[in-house]
Parts: sequence; structure tokens; C-alpha cells
Amino acid sequence: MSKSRGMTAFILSLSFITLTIAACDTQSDRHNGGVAHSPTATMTPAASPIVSPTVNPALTLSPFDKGFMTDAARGGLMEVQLGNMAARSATNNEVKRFGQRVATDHSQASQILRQLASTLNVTLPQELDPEQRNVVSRLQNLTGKEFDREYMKMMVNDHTKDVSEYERAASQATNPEVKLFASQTLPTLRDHLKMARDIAVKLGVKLPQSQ
Amino acid sequence: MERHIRAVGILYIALGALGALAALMLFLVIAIGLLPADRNAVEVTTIAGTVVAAVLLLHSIANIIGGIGLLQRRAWARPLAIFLAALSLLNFPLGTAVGIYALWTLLKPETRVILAPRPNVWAHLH
Repeated sequence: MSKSRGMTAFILSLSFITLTIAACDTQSDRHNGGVAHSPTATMTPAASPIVSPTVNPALTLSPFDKGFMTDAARGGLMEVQLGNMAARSATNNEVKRFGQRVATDHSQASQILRQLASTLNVTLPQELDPEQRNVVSRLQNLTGKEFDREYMKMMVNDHTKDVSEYERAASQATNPEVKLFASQTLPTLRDHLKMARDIAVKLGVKLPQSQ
Repeated sequence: MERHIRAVGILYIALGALGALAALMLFLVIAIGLLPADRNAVEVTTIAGTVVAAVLLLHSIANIIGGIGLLQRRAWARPLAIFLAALSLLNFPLGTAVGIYALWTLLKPETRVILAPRPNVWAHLH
């Protein structure tokens, strides 16, 4: 009798967890405000109506928003630099094409982000930080297949984290323009992540199963 | 995975708040002396009750800190949350269910990448 009561309580607990997850889902959908995510969307400045004349965005810029913009700018600089390096130095054609695509898309995104930052009076980093420079020089020392594999592994991890950060910004940023930037950039980042995983698997890079 | 990390964070904060409330109630009960009138019994129950309430309060505070850390994607939140999840497995049924779900979320390689500081991500988490 008490055993079955325990099981009932356990099942009720599981239902509670499921409801919490569902609530998180609904909330993030609501936060996204119906912004359409096209899987093939690219980050063109013309496609992104970043500045709204009716809102004073500076009033609603939170430390989280500023932190996100700074991290996104720093990450963008690194992606562009590594993408160009891959386009030049990779031996595998798919890795070269991926590098080119990443460099182009992140250059466009950075341009939009810098326009947004200047509207909001946020100062963004203009160059890589020392840790990023270390990573770049570490990759520069690699050649051939070793470079391809290391670059793709880095891209899988980096874009996994990027997607998570942009998803969070798309739902939690205070400023509507920052939120819009994050949600419009997300489909491209998801695309990059999928491509990176596919290429990494083809190159025989060992990725943890759920990645 | 993003929504699972968020859900675990919210669950930890909710459970922490409930636990803290229970601990404070227990402290209150001890303080206003609603326990049996027998002097020895009161003494023993007061000591035991205070210890239980203090442990419960500390555990609840740790849950709230872990939950906030997860919601803010702090790197330190993952080991803390894993430790708390392992502890909560013993607390059948709600704690066990939350513990299983939290461990499932926190032990995924993707969660490890998401919660790791960026330089560790570049260094492939070595």
C-alpha cells in the first residue's frame, strides 16, 4: 500500500518536472515574439531592421545585454579570423568551404552588431584578447589533416556554446533590438553547428554522442 | 539542452525555497516552544530540531545558489548542481525524480560545453 503510494508520488513528481520543462518552453516561445526562424536565413544587414525609431533602446539595456553584445563581438572576431585561416590552410575542401561560409556570415553579423552597438552607445572589443590570440597561434602551428580536425572540433564546441548563448539572449535580453539580433542570428548559427558536426564526423573527429 | 538547463535551475530554486521555508518553520516551532512540555524531551528535541533545521537550511541555500548559477550559466554551478542532484536522489520521491532529471541534463557533453568557460571550450575542455 505504502509502496504504491510512493510510486504515485514519484509519478506526480515526474509530472511536475515535465510541467516545469513545458513552462520553460512556452516562455521562451513567448519571448521570441513570433520571430520567424528560417533555416536558410542569412545574416544580411538589409534583412535586419535593427533600429526602431519609436523606442529609446539605451533605456532598456541591461548588464546582461551589454555582456552578450561584448561576448558576441569578441566571438565574431575570432570566428572570422579562424574561418579565413581555414579557407587558406585547410586541406579538405569541405573544411575550406565551411571556413569561408563562417567567415562571411560572422562578418555580416559583426557588422549588424556594431551598428546596433553604436546606436546603443556600447563599446565593443576591436581585437582578439590574449586567450583568443593563443588559440589562433596554436592553430597556425598545425598543418594538413591535423589542422582540419582540430579546427572542426573547435567549431563544434564553439558553436554549441554560441547557440546556447544566443538562445538565452533571444529569450532573456531586455532590449528588443538585442533580442531581435540574437533571434535573427540563431538560425545561421544552428546551420553552422549542423555543418560543423557533419564535417567533423566525416573527418573522423571523435565527438561525444549527444553532440 | 538550453531549456533543460533552465528547467533544472528553476527546479533547484523552487525546491531550495520550499526547503528554506520548511527550515524556517522548524526554527520557529522550536523558538516558540510548541514541543512537548517534558523538560528533557524539550531539550533533546530542541537540539535535534535545530541541527535538522540548520542542515535543511544550508542544503536549501546551496540549492538556490546552484539554481541561480545554472540560470546564469556559471561554470562553477555544474559541479555544485551534480553534487546536489546526487544528494537529492536519496530524497524519494520528489528529490529522486528531480535528481535523475538533473543528472541526465548535467552529465550530457553538450551541457558541459555550454557551462564551460570559453577558453576551455577552445581547448576542447582539457
